[in-house]
Amino acid sequence: MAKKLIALCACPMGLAHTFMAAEAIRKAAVEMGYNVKVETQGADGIKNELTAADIRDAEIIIHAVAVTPLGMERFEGCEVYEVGLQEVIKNPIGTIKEIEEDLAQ
Amino acid sequence: MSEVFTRQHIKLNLALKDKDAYLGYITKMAMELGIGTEEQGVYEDLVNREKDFATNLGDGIAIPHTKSEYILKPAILVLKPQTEVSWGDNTEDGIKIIISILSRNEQGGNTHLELLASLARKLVDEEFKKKLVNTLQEEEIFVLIEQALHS
Repeated sequence: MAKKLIALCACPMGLAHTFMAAEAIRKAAVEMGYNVKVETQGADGIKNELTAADIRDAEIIIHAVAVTPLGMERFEGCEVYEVGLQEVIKNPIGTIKEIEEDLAQ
Repeated sequence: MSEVFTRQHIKLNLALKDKDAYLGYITKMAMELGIGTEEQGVYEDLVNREKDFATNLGDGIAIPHTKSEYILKPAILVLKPQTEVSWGDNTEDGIKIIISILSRNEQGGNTHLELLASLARKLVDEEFKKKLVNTLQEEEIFVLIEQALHS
C-alpha cells in the first residue's frame, strides 16, 4: 500500500494561498506515489477534514499555514513538518523530498 | 445578484503608473460593478493584504485579494497592463496579468467561495498560467477563468 501523506493548509484570507498550496502538495504527492489527503481551512470553511485515522496512518504530516488553524489538538504528539505557503507552492516536490530525507536520517 | 465573473470584469491594455495605481483601479472597478460598498475601505484592505506579503505569484502573475467588509459579493477581476508592472518584494519579473479575488468577510457555506477556491487551485497549473499570461484576447481570458472557476 502506498505511503500516506497528509497536509493542512490555511492562510490569512483563506482565498488564494490555502488552495494553491493544497493543490501543489496534492499534485506533487500523487506524482511521488503517495496516498494523499489535504485539508483546507479557507474562506469556504473546513474542507476535506483530516480524521484521527488519517493522522494515525500518515507517514508524513505537513502544515502549510500562516495562521493558527482550528483543531490543532488533533496533531498532539505527532511529528508535524511546518512549511511556508509560498515555499511549498513554488517547490512542492523539493519540499516533500527534504522531509523524506529528514525522515530517513 | 450578478455573477462572480463576467466579460465586464476584464480590462485590457491598461497603462497605469505603478502597483498602487492598479490596486486603485481594481477598487474603482469594484465600485462601478456594484461589488464594493466603499472605495477607500476596499482600497485599504487590498493594500493591507499586500503588506502581509506581496501577492506576486511569479511567472508574471499577481493576485491581489481581500476578504473585506466593504465587499458585497465575491468576484474576480482581471487586468492586463500594457507593459510589465513591478509588484513589490521578491519580484524578479514584472507582472503581466493581475487576477484580483474579492470576497465578503464571512465564513463558509457559500457556493461562490467554492468557485474562488477552484480558481486558486488552478493557479498552480503551469499550462493554465502560461495561457493567461500570454493571451491578449478578452474572450480567451474569459473562457480560461470561467472554466477554472467551475473546474
